Amino acid sequence: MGFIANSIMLYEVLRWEEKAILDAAKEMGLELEPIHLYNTILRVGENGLKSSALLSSVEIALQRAISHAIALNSTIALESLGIRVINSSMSTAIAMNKLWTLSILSRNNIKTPRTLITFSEESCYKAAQVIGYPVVLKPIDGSWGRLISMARDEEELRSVIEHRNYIPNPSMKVHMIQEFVNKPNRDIRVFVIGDEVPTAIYRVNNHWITNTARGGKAEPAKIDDELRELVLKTAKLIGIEIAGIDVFEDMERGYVVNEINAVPEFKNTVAATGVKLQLKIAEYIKTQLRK
Amino acid sequence: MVCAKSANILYMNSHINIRVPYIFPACIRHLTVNINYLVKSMAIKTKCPVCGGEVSLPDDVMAGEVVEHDCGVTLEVVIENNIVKVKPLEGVGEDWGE
Repeated sequence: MGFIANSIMLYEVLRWEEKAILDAAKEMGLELEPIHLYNTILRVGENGLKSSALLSSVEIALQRAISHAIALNSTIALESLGIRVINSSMSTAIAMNKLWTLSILSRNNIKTPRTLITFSEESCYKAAQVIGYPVVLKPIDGSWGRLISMARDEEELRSVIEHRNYIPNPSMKVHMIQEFVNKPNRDIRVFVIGDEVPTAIYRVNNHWITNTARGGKAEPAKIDDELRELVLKTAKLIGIEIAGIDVFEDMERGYVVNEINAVPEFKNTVAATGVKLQLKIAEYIKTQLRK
Repeated sequence: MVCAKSANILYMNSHINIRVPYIFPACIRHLTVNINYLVKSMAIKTKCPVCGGEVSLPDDVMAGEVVEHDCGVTLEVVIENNIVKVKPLEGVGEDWGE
């Protein structure tokens, strides 16, 4: 094996997923050098400043940072050096912004939850009346199902908005209000890697928030042709190569795409389905290196 | 032939407290690989910053790994200036996760 790696994996905290990807890469002879972003200084463009010589040989970087801000910005910096990052900064930015994601999908006739955006408290009440209670309020850039709230009436909505007003984050001034999708006590997390849909899980929970990080139980899910085509089209529209796509089964409308995850976790999926996504990801990186 | 690699990253692979040149010839690389092999079975010892107790880390530990210590504290492995240390894992970041 050559010494200089031509692929790297960017990370902050080494979770099960990152360890599994490194092991899988080793197993198949892919040199995937782990780069701990906390110990890394990245040059922005060819600006004459000295940078790690390691990067001069890198073709592809796999982004696995746990923080949205660090994942996106380290991707942007690496792209400035001509390195292809999987996923790209544009697709990562789109996936991390739920409004941007819904905007692109809805323009392309992909069914999404009915959504309104408001920028003031008073407008929230009007928007909720338009959609009809119960409504779901969520931050446009949230993760792990945090700060997602349901309001069954105006009084509950008022309480949620008051809490949001005290969170010192400018994005809290943007209120995303959605219909409460009438679905079974589960959603579907479908994985896309390149042009493949290797596996999917149902995330089952009696609570209406189904994230496995919030106690949702993972069970193997069936992938029919409609679902496969839907998630591949969704990934293509966003320009994302490796993604976890969350889909609702609306009782009336069928499959509804809820959101896209650019740095998906998959420990629970591997345990539930037996599909080794870490191998699929390493294989995909290897395939792309040959191009 | 000249192989180039940052000292920091090389240390992360070798886990021994030596400094290596930023740019180094291929022959030194072979020496480093041999050293790697020799220290493969060595565990790294450091101290828990909370209880002062010993923390034993596997020889292939990497920066960013999370370790549960006997005292109940969750620790994060940090490698700075070629020294392996641990620090209490900071709370979950506001923008962490999928």
